[in-house]
Amino acid sequence: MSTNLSTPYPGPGPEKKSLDQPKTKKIRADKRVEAIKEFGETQVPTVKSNIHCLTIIGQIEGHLIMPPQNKTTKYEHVIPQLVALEQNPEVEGLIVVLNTVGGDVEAGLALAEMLASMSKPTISLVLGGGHSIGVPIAVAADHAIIAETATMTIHPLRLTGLVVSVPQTYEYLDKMQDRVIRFVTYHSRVTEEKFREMMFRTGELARDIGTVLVGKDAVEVGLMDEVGGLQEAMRKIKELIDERKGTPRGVH
Amino acid sequence: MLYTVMPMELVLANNQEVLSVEEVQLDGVLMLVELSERGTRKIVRLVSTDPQVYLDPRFTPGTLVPSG
Repeated sequence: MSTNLSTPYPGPGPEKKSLDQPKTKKIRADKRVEAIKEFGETQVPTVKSNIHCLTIIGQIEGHLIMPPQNKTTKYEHVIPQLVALEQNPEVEGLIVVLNTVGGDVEAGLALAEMLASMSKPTISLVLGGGHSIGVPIAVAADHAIIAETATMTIHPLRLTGLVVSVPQTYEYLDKMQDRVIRFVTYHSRVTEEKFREMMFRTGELARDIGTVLVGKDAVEVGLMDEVGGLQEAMRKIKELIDERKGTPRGVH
Repeated sequence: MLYTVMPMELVLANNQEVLSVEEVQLDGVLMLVELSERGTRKIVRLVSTDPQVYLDPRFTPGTLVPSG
């Protein structure tokens, strides 16, 4: 019977047979009691990271279930995950990896607000794409990193389905859009003027108006904080964790 | 309202399926599972108030659960 020792989470796996030294047995017994108290189970997690990683991919599914060909992020699953991470004392930081085409506005803003209101250090890493409603989510983190080849599309909200052509429709759309613009400008260095200008720019997108920002463009306009990848994300999250703890960097 | 770069005709293409879901309890966790025609059950989402179960990879939405 073999046990997967790299499983980070407790689970009802098979009991490990071992040739333990008595000292190791006592440590494992203590941990087991702790595990029962904390998780209600006896399996001791063998590898625990203080930095957790959350991925937000595909379409952000909100009030409607998407047809099956779409890859989705279920926001009703992600939100309790964020609550768990905020609660769990072992978790010290969170890296959110994004590769999303956008999705439901309210679900996206819900995730963005949850992320922004976390007390622990958060880093967003945009790989591939962070389009549309992915933009607020990316800037909601304490530090936002974008990969060199990643793109973020800034474009206006669109009404789909039956559109009633009265002035109130436009005002509604404007209000929806304002929510997004306000959030993004509050959580990043981009000005409202610049963001609106990018949103309504013509000539860049084939089927819409808007702007495509690639890698360092996003940093230059003040939307994202840094161009980078995994090592920059790890370095920064450790820095933020140490700052939070009051430990001078490099000293443990 | 969808705010996305994907064209709507692609996103909403196969929109005839309606999920047939049922609520089950697995390992003490309440969840919604979808029954497919082939008899396999797939987790749609969790209905638990304990945030820690959402971190458990066994309960990720989309995972197949054994029937019975």
